[in-house]
Amino acid sequence: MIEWLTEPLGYGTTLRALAEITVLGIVSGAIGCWIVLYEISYSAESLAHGLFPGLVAAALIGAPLLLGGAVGVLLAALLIVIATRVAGESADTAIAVVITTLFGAGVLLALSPDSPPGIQELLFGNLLGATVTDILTAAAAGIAVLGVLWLLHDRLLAVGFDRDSGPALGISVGALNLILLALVSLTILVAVQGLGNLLVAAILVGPAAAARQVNHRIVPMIVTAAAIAIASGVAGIYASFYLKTAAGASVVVALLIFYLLAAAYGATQGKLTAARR
Amino acid sequence: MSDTTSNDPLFAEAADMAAGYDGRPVLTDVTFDVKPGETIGILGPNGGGKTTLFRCLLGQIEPLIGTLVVNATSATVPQSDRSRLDYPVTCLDVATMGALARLPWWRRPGRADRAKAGKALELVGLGERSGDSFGELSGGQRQRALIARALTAEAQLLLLDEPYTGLDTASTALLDQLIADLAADGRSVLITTHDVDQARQWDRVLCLNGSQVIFGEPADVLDREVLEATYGGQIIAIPGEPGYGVLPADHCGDDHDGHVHHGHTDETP
Amino acid sequence: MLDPFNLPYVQEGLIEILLLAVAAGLIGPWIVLRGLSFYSHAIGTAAFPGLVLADGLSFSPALGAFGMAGIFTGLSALISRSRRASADSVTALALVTCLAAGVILASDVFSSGSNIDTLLFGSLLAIGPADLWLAAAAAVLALLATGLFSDRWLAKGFDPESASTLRSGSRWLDAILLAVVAITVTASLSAVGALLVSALMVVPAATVRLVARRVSTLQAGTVLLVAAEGTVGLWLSVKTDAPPGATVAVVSGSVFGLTLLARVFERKARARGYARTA
Repeated sequence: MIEWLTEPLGYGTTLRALAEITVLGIVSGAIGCWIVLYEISYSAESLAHGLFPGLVAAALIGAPLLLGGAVGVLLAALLIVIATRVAGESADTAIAVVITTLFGAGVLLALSPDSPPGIQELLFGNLLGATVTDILTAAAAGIAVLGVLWLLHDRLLAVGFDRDSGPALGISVGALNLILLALVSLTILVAVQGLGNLLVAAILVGPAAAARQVNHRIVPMIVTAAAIAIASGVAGIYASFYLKTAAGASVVVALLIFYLLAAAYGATQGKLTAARR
Repeated sequence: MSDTTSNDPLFAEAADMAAGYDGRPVLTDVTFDVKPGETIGILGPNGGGKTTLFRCLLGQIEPLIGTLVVNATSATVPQSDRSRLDYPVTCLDVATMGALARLPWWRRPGRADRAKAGKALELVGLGERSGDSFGELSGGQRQRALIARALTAEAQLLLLDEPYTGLDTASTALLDQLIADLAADGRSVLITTHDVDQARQWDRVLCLNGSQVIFGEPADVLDREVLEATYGGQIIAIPGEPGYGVLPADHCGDDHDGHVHHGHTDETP
Repeated sequence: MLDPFNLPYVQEGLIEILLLAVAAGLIGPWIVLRGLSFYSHAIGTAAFPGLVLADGLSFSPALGAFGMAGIFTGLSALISRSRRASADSVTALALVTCLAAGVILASDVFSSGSNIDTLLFGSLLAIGPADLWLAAAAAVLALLATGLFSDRWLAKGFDPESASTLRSGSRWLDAILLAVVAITVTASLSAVGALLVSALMVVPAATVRLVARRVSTLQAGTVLLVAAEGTVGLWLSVKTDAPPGATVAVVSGSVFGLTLLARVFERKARARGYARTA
């Protein structure tokens, strides 16, 4: 039994992947809670798709991915605002138009024959290929994200609870939403390395959605979400080691299993409370 | 009833005010004032301008015409049934949110602020439930928790938006008492309601229906003509019941269709 | 320049695109008018693992796609009933899981790694007779459905409350629209892939909507635009060897952007015209 656990740890790739997913798990768990409470899961997923061409362009010209992603997300946000305001489209349609076009452009760049082969990894991630630099970058970004979340914790809580009360409490709701989206974007940029553009939404949303079924206070919810994210990461990496499945996708499947367990637990709790009343 | 002297400065004063959105007024001819320690009922159909008035008092929108002077910190207490019941906050968390109004953006509420919130909860009668989840509270308790939030923000002018909706008789009585206590403490409370008889218990009433219909003491101003102008509906006299009942017109709000407004709250919780 | 169209497989791709133009062009406006952009995208994404399964186990891709679409729609209906679960987060999670499941099935279970790109982003160059039949069926269905239900869909769209009091069958109207959207999306999966269906179903309709308001003009215009954009996208796909889903997306997006610009300039010019005459 012990050998089963320790054998993968003998490999550098596994250790680095575990380190990477731990960092990602902590950050995603925390910010994921706000994504779920503010009901911006679909926006987060769209953001991930929207910054894809930025990543691809950066990879093609050899620029740092973080920079390409940052440009990509700003471009996507700007275009969405234009589509909503100028075209008068509903947010739903505007996001669909902008994201589809941007994502298509990214795919065009990524999959045309002259682009280097590493581009595929941007789509599906390369968790087992995490380098020490990746881990350190993720940690640095993670600390920044967690720091801002800590500072704004009470205000995020207040506005998420009652948006209209924001101005009376001295909070600019617009600025707060912008900061939140910026933090989500930063987390996406970091998580893309491990999970890829297509799957990153899972670690942003899954652990927090699961934690919500289990916890009724915000701080325990954040801790549970981080724990679930890390546990799923570890499970996924071990599954990948023994079953030879793709690492990123395995992590996502593990996340789903945790979510289903949490949802089942939440459903039984709901029935118990109803019975008690 | 308050016992402050008439020499104390007014909390708010409006003169010929009109307000609206995108340059178009939805509320006109507003002239009233709010003395410290006063309770004012606001009557009128949905869409008649009550929300707009609250927004003006909070400073969220500027009047288009006329003047509005507000000399007190104001806070609004929304209908509690619009709050999210599955939000991971305790009663104390909600009350502590009010402390943010007095803190610069880089400071988080500390122990002193939480203590202040705890005292506010005791004031509204929720001292023992401070650790409970907000969603576990009853409708009336949620309303009072939101009032505690306003008190923690040290608001002197409280704007209650239909706080009696869905409350049973016991909770209604508790809320009545709380409002009276707050007024006795020197705070002023504006309450929107659809219950005409309920409004008679307060110091003054303000009737809004797109424009101001009347402002004054209920005994003086709440007559048939005023109610008809406010609600645009048929007035009927209910035998054996005090006051007049109002049959609302179509625009009086979905949950009141066909119901007669009279002394007792007959809304289903 | 027109060499690509001499190749037989490109010609089949062209027929597919034109058939899809009828279906997507007639249904696209309804997706935009009724706010179903997310739904149509979700159907496409949810269908992905179904396609992989069908590809690996050698049964009809349409069946795999329909199966998944059905499961997804059913689950969505269940989830939106549950009070505690936030539909937003659960749906996003479900979709990502479908993608992950598809990736695992494709790369590790069936080892059809090279086909992932095709499944996700389409391949007009691998259209078979089954795909053409499905596209034709979707076109016929779209014609029938819009012919029969356009008026009622329009009424419901503008005033959901009054429409539901008029007749109890209005829930069926919604279900029919959702089903027709799902079928049209499924038919377009082989051409543009699971992740870019919006390039055919949403973007052209949104573009035409910038200049047309009446439903009949919207539909006619969108059919023509999808046909045009699809053809150009097909040509580009052959020339750049990129997946057709991506080329169509870029083409349709650019047309939307240009139309938007043109409208902005036209408005400014008109405003200036008024100012001068005032």
